[in-house]
Amino acid sequence: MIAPETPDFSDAVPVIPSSLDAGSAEFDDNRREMTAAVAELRRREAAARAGGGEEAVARHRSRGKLTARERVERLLDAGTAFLELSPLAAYEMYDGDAPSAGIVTGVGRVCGREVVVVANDATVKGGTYYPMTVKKHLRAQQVAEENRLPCIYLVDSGGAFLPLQADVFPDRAHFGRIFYNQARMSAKGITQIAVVMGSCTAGGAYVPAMSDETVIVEGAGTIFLGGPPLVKAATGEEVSAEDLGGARVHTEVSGVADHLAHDDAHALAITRSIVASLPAAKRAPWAVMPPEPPAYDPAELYGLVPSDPRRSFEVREVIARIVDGSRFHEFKAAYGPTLVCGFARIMGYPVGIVANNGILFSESAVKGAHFIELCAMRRYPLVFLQNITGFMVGRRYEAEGIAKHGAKMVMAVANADVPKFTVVVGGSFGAGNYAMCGRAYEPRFLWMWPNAKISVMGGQQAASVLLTVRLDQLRTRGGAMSAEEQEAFLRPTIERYDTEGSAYYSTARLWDDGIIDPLDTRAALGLGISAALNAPIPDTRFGVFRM
Amino acid sequence: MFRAVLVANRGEIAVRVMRTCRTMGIRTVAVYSDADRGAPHVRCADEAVRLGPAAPARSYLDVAAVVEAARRTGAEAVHPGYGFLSENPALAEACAAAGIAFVGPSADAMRLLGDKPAARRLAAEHGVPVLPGFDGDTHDDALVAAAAEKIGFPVMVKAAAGGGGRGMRLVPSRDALGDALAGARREAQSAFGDDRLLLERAVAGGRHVEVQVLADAHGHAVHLGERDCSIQRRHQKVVEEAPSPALSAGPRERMGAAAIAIVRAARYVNAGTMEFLLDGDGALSFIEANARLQVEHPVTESVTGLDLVELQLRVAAGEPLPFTQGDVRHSGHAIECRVYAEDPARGYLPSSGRITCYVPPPGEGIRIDSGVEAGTAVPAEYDPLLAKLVVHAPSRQAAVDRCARALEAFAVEGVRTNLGLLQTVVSSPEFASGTADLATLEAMPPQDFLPRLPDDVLLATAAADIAPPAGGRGNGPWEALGPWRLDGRRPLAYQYHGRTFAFEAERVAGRTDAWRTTVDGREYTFSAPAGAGDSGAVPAWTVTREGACRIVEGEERRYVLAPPNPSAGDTAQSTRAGRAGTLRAPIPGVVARLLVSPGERVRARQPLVVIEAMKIEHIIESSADGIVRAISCEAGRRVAEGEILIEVAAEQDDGDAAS
Repeated sequence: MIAPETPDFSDAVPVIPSSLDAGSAEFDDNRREMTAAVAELRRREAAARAGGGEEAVARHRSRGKLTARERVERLLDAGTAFLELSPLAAYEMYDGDAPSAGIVTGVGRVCGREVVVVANDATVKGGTYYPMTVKKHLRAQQVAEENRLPCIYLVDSGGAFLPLQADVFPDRAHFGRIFYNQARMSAKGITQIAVVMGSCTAGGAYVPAMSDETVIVEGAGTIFLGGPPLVKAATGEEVSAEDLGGARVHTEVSGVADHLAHDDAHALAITRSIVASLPAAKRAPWAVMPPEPPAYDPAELYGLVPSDPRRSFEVREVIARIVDGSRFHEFKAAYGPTLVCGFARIMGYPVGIVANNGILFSESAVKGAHFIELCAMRRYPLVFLQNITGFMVGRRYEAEGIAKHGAKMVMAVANADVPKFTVVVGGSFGAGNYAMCGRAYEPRFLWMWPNAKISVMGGQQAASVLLTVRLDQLRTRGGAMSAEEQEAFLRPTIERYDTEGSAYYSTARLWDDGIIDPLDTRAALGLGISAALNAPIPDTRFGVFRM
Repeated sequence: MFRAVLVANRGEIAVRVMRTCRTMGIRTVAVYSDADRGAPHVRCADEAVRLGPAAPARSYLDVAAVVEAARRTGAEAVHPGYGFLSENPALAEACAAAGIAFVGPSADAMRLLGDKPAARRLAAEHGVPVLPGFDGDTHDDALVAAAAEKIGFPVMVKAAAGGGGRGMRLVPSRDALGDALAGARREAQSAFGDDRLLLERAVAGGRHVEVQVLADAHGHAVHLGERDCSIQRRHQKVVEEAPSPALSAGPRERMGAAAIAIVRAARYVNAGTMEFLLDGDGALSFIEANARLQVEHPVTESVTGLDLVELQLRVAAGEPLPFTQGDVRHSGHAIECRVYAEDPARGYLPSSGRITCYVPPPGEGIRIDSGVEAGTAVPAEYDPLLAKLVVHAPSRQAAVDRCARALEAFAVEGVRTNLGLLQTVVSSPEFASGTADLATLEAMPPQDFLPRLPDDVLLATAAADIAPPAGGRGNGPWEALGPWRLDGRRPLAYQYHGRTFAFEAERVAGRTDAWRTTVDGREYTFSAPAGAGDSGAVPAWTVTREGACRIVEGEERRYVLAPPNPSAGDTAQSTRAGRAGTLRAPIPGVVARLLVSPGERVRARQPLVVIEAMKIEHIIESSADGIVRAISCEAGRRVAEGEILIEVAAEQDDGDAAS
């Protein structure tokens, strides 16, 4: 991976100058606020990690099974990273019945190779699929497909969560998509591996059946289209689960599974052997350098993000605490200054950074489109640091064609065929979300900081817009609202936007891949870029830019 | 001197014998079974010959195969090591018949001394004290019972032949005698093909002290001082030392003289050992003789500076001993620890598998005799001895300290070992004071054998793994981030002496270099990278990597930690091929042979049935250890594909398995 002659990046590219005052009262306030926010994040993550709770875990273990998280840990190379996806999925949904949506997913390393792991947590409602479980499973498959990573499914699931079948079964992005994805990935040479460590009933039976190689644990894993009760009801035949679809049946008679394992640990060892025997093809189209820590302590990120989300902050201070050596080759610094663009390295990989430093104007958008073209040409991954309230509005701006200039940037973002990564470090509002590679623009990964907010516009603005419309209606009928009435009208909208705009609301619904501690931004991006390098970076072809 | 020597053994002793051969310029020939293909003893030989399948009876115990291997390779002598054929007169005779020198005593001397009742009578005839006992015909229970009454309970029942503690039974009272005799006879018969027994008074406590002797074919005999082997479990030696901390000059001289007397009386030639029991009152009694090189011979080599294997070879080649009794000098103190692949917490159950990490302790005064290295398979078929740690120091105290440090630094992972037990024994007050006797180890609770690590060693290793030095291992985020987790945790797990130490560190909020963790309920804050930041303990350890192992070094102390190996599939059972169950015909054919009968105990991969089909024999092997419950086929009969042939049930843990 390392080019024999690495370009002399460190010497030539300047270190970002910092004017952060780490001694100020504001810094202290900010830091206190972010520390509390991260502590709260950790508390919620710990609760989610507990899965179905002590009792369910004890029952699960009494069957000689490892928990979903233990299985993942045992599968991965010892002492290596795991880029978990959306650990707070389904947070505060379904009455809190589905911590992590009952499924653990992420990118990890097995025998030195990056893979996507999908592990059902049978302690959460028997590992059944809630709507968010399906979404999380499909998201993991998307990560695998986009980055060409082998998939390992650690299956232990009772299938669809029946009370919510209408939101799980029929639609395009529902249960059936899992197997469609398996088939399409298999066709593309993205290896599908299933490890049956528990039930695999009905539709779930297709996970192992659709896989390239399948392991099954004797005495624990079962695969059948209809379980013993269904068989009895349908044909009167009485048969045990093991005789109907146990490990011996499937490895010796039916051929639905390929490898018989004696227990979870054995199954995971076999799985590692499967992965070790896969062909490997990972190539970076440019030189990779050894990672270098930022020159400024990333811990200072806590002090520079204002506790009041309406206050802006200097995004170069953020970049300085994320990129290698804090070195940044800035592009067009004096033009369209509300969008900061430039080249840097993150954990040794070259990247183009696009970061908000205020509202988007026509110049900023055109500059952004230009810079994205550069990155696409160089095959550099793009990192978007979102802190955007939107595009500038008003007569002058409409007249100069801000809509078509914004469209240029959206066109560039949508079509740039390089791996894209988005981190929401502040607000993500309105059309700014589109231009800055929001979820709809399929960045390879999208993460939120705990302070991040996401909605079509701010709660205050939305409430004001609604109030204006309302007052106009009243006025035509000759009515009016008192100040108190107006206040009462505004409040529910503001509160609703507050709740729905929070990072937790977002991450619960998989609008992102997880909330991260700002200190982990570098690490998450580094692992994400590394994963992305498993897929070739093609030539980009842009559409029509409205001039 | 011989130009080529065949070593009819495996493991550490084969490697050790070959080492001396090499320094003497002698070509070495190894023999091996299928289970040892590529084992260290095979690779360190100049030439190697396959003996047969893994089963000892068909490989290392096959006299004809060994002699044939020697003849084919032009070996002029056969060194038997210890165990296997070392005390089997048949090999000595076969060698003699083939004109090959046997490095050991004559078959006659071997027969005489290898037979416990005969050796006991010989000793008594020459004025050497023996324990009150009964060495007559033990097939008559009534006669034996009367003798036992006369000796007085408790009584020790031993097999007349063989050694290694097999067939030994401690009988506390007359009620238990009948069962003990039956059990001992059965065991002796199966182990040695000889069900004769010997009864002796059981001595509570007491110490095992033995004398190394050496005699040439020219009538010269010397003794090289004693070894104290009182740390034993189930009549097997675990720790040995020289000199004995319990022996004073007088008894030492008397014991040496007695040993020489027996050697002369038996016309014994080559290296041998006379074993004595030293009771609480300081009285010595002869127990038995070992007509071979002992496992613990390096202890004597350390304190005398002699090479016993070299002397064995010279004597076997007909040379006279190059020194006399007066020339023998002893200096300092030596201790040997036997590192076994076994689980002391589970009744010393032997552990088989593959060694994933092997790092012996380096340093002055430390000798390692080892038959394994990283990657070596430890087969279930053989003695579980992996390696011996031998330390030598000017004083006993210094030797004990050096031994404790060396045990700490010894890394063998992948199989269970007794390293934790050895650490506990060596650091026990009984051993430190030199008062440990034969009952000491048995009295220690197994939970004390749990390997321990100082918490700061774990923290130092954790710090090094959480924040690997820049450019330290590979390049890129996976190498630089260690066990990074999205939620701020860092799961850490290390194996040390077979025990897994797993814990999690969590970042102190808002700090890039400070971490919090809990080890066994104790809370810590530490810095990573080590030395960064101002809070928390900065452990005084340096951590380096050797392959996957972490070498943790502090002042005069060293630990080697290994990461858990996820590919190992863990669980003790997983080395056994599988679960018991029903075996079916894989192909239609005719049952050519049935190799087992109902009720028979079988091992995993043991052939059970042979089916002939399409002109080829298909061997049906057992999928697991177990007992043959039912046989549904018969020889000569046709079977259909998928027809049930045999059922093997998992072996019930009847508590007898470990004996």
